[in-house]
Amino acid sequence: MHGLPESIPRDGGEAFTGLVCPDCSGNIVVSAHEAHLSFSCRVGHTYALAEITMAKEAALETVLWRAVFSFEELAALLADLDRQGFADTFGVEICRARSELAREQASRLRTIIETDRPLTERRRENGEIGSSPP
Amino acid sequence: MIHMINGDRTVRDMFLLGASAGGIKALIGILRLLPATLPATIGIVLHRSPTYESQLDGLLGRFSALPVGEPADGDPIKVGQVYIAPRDVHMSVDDHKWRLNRGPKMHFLRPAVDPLFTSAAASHGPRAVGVLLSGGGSDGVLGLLAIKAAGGLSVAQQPAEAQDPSMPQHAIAEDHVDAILRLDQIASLMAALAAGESFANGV
Repeated sequence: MHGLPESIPRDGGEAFTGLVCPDCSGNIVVSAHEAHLSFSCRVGHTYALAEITMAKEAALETVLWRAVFSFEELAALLADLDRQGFADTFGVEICRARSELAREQASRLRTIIETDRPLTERRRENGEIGSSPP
Repeated sequence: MIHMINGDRTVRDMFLLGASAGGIKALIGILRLLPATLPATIGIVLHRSPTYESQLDGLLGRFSALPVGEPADGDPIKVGQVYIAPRDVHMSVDDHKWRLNRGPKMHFLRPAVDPLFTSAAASHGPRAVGVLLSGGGSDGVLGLLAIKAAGGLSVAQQPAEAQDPSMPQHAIAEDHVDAILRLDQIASLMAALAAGESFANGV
């Protein structure tokens, strides 16, 4: 699996990346225009380097919160099944253990999100921003 | 050091302004200095909410001697008029008409600056002048490159003056712009270019 192609054409041509579009999940191509890298998908969603990178950071947080929600949802469901006498479908003790484990996993994921450190674009004192071409 | 802009005295009368955060102040800073007789067209994309009906044209119009309005799709491009992109559509130039469309977002934005700049480069060539003002992100960088490639001029607001310097900084870092100017200098440059005059930068 790769993020960028082996080399990015310097003549304005496009090369496929290993990335998908943050807006539509379509394949993304990259092209270089002087020092500016442009990423675009088949339908025309277009991003600069920092934008697509930070979109990937944002997507990561989004799916992690979905995972937190799913664990907490499952834990709540199983706890309620137990409380209302429906846990026997799975076995009461097994149901309680799974509910507790799901709650713990949600807590671990929260810690992962809260201690994660996504990238932000670097601002330089001399007025330049972003990367220079190799 | 004095740098002469438009030394060949080309008439450049299609001005495209792109702005985001801090952009209203920047746009007012330019529009309030332009004469009502400016023989040019001004197209503006200001990043704005796709859902909120703001009265940007009315707001900017209070500070402009030139009439300011949002075009409808297919409206003719008139001289002596300021056009601002409506919410939730890209505004572009097609021959002598404005085009509005809900095409794919660029840089997560609609309207975005790049469609205006790139379409104006294609239709107006050397007559097009792209100006990136206060704002965040790199929308407009591709458009400025297209304008330069078509023989037009690219200008960035002096970052130290911009409320959010990111957009002009991107333009400076990635586009090698023709000029980096304060708002009052940009207004003077526009008046000079529309009259087919050169402009001495650095005095």
